[in-house]
Amino acid sequence: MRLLVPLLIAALGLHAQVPHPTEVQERRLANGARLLLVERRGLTAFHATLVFRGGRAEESADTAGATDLLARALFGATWPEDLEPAKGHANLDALLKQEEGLLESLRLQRLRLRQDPSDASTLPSLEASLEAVQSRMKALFSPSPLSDLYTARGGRQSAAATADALVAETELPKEAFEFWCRTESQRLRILQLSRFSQARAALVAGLKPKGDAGMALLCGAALPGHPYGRDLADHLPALEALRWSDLRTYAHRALSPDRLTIILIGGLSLESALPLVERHFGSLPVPPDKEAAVLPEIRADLGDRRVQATLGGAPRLLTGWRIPPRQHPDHLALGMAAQLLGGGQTSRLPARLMHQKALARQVDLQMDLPGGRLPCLLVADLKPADGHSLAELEGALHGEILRLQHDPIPQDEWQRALAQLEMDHLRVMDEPAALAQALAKAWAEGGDWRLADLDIQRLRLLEPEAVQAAVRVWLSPSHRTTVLLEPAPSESRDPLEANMARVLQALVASRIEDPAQREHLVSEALRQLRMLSAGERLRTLKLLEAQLLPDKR
Amino acid sequence: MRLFLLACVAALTLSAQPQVQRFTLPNGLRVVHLEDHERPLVRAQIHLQLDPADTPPGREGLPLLALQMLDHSDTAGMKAEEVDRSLEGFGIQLSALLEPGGLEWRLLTRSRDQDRAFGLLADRLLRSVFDPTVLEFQRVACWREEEQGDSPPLTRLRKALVQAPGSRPSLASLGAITLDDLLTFRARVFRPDRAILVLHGDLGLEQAKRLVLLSLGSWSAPEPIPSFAPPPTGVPVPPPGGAEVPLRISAPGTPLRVQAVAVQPGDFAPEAAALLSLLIPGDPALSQVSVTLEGRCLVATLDAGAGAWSLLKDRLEALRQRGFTQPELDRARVAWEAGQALETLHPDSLLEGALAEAQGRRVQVTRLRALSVATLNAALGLWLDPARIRLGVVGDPEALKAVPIP
Repeated sequence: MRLLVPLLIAALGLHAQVPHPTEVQERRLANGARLLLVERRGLTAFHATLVFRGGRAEESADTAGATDLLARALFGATWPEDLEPAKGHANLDALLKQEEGLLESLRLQRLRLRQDPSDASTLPSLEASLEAVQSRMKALFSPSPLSDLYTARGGRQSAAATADALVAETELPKEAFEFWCRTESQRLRILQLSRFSQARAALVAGLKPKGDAGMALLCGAALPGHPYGRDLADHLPALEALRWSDLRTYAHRALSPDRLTIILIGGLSLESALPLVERHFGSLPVPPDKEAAVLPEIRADLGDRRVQATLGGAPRLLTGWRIPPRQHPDHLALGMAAQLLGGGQTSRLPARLMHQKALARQVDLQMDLPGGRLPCLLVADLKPADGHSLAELEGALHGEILRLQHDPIPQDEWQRALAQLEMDHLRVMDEPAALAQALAKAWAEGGDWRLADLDIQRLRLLEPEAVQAAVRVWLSPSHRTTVLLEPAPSESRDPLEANMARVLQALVASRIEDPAQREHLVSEALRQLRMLSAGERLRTLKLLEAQLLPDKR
Repeated sequence: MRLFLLACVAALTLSAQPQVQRFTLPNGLRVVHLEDHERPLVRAQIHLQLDPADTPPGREGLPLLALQMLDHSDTAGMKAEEVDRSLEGFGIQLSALLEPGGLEWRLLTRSRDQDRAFGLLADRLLRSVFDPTVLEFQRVACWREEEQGDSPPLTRLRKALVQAPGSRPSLASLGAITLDDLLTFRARVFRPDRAILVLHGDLGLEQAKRLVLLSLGSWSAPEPIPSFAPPPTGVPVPPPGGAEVPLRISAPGTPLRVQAVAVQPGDFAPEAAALLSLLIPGDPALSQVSVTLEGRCLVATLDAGAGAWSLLKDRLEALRQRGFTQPELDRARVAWEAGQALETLHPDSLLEGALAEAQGRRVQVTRLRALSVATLNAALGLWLDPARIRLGVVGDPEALKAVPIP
């Protein structure tokens, strides 16, 4: 009894402690899948993350977009018909195969039509057949709201494709844990993908307007020829040609158990969770042909690259430095450099460029773009204040980088950056979803979930000189790519030239992968075409336009 | 001894479940305290209620500009940069937001730095001195934020549609705001009796009382300033957005998409809102329509072709006319009640829930269980009332020309 009292008091006193990595319990399943469990006794729910290492970086050119498509088609919702073979599964399979055949015939027929517009005879019948098959499929789908199995149990799920992984997150009341294990293992076993065609259409529609074209341009120019530099919007034909059975084949490899880490955080103990995880996930089959993906090398010192482009919108300066992957010893020092440069209102770039010199109206700094498993980018994204040019801003940015390379870092500034990183770490440890994300990222990028905690411990031991040394090596001109987005929207140009630029850009997009080369080619062609008369330019435009696919004209 | 042991065991068991306690300061500030010693962190959320009458006609954007000014003003004792430096030096995270019903500040700090953090929060909230020299700069910054020129066109459209047509800031309304307007707004709105503070984390009740009293106890509540006159009674006020011409955002190269935003009426029952939020997005009647819920708004988007306006409106109207059935209502109730467990996974949700409770807009389980299908469908009818729906379209300028006005 005397022993018990101090123990209890000690336990009470220890409550508000920073979580320790030992909180994470790790187990390896027989088929290679990993389980990481963080028990939080007071919680009446759990957060589960499934991380499949690989991601967009491991897609080949003809499977570009497969990870994004899987995130939508496989994990976008949880329909009963995708999980219960007894409920017309065979029938659904047959219909999906029919749908695949019809979609492919339609695609090929439309391609033929581009060559010979008069040959449209089979198109209407194909479209009618597809509609009929899709109606029959629809009849097998659950007709009522709340048919999503997780929503009906008070839960939610989301999934995302990243450069390094496919990540699916679920939150459910803890009573539903066994249901979750059963559902997810069934999902991975069956790979039904019943809403494949809708998911593909939605993904294509989402990519068509192109998101952040400036950032895509920077990644493409800084990481040429590598999947990290790929803009999915340039690979729409490959995505449109990707069939249901192709995606299932891809999924068998990309979602194999040896690539999987299951992260559980919440009111679950290892004793209660492990048997269920082993029963359901441990029996997932490992595909026999396990070929490790071979990824092209990225050289960090490609030389100083510059791209000047006019995409419309506000002027913007994007500067990316090729930096080493997360496992590299310098990566942590560069993370600290990024914090010193752009972490918070009082960090160097906002303080100097926005508040003191009023050169910029917005400053953003991002690390590990688009991923962190391979050499990647540290990006400074700056928007000039009114009345200031991109050149002024660029000069000021380079000045700040030089200052960081050579001038001693004041102690208070160092402490401020460290305090913010420590606070971020504390918040991440506190919030189950954020902790799961940090563990997932550490594993997918660095190959070790412990990095989620080790990084902050190593940061405390880091010396300012080490940061400066890393900045001198990696944030140097030979590692730099600069994209200058000029504020010359098409409408302020001669409409003929604007149209010509659009057509040229569309033409070279399908032939040249390196955006820097693309931009150079287009601006050079425009310069030469200006020497022609208006009539000749119009004829040239028509000739060029004829080479474009009809939907791009 | 046994009693002591039992108390210790009980304390261990309960420690993960935040205990909700409430108190009010003499100045009228209401405080909700959620004690939770799991981590050495303290979170706070302070909400200042806003009424439409706080913004004079022709000064739309006043709350946003006031918030922006406050963030960039010196306080009585410190320069604005010093406040930022002090916050960041201790890793304190403080953000200010303009929410549909009010102004909000969110704070996150280590429990050891709570005194300093609350001191700085109070400095920013109570002792900031509006600097007229930064007014023009902040006005432009507000307009840029409002315009969202760098955002995708669909995001811009959604942002515009979720705001009631009469309350959308324009360049003219922002340009008309004077320093006097800002000062009057501040005097009217920044009052402790309009505020609710929610605290969560590693601090006991007595500690919380002391902390709040020391930092915000001096916040005085002067005589209320009369609000701007509401529109005279008897004059018909158009429903928000219904009579408005649909918004069009032209973006070269962008595929055509139409969007409809339905806003819940002000007195919408939270129980009906909670159940409908579960039922509407997954309804098969809305197939091909992407539905998201943002606060009190339902946002429906459709990739357009010819007749997209009517297709989108027809889908929403079909759902409104059909309504939901008793089994669907029962399933939604089960789902909602089960989903409450998820709140424990998100500290911010705990704060939101406590704030909603203090504002009287939290879902009451007894009322949720008593809700009938007829009441639910009546609420659906009100929410998706075509007269209340705001419409917009984005797309290539050429394609937009072909879209008829509905």
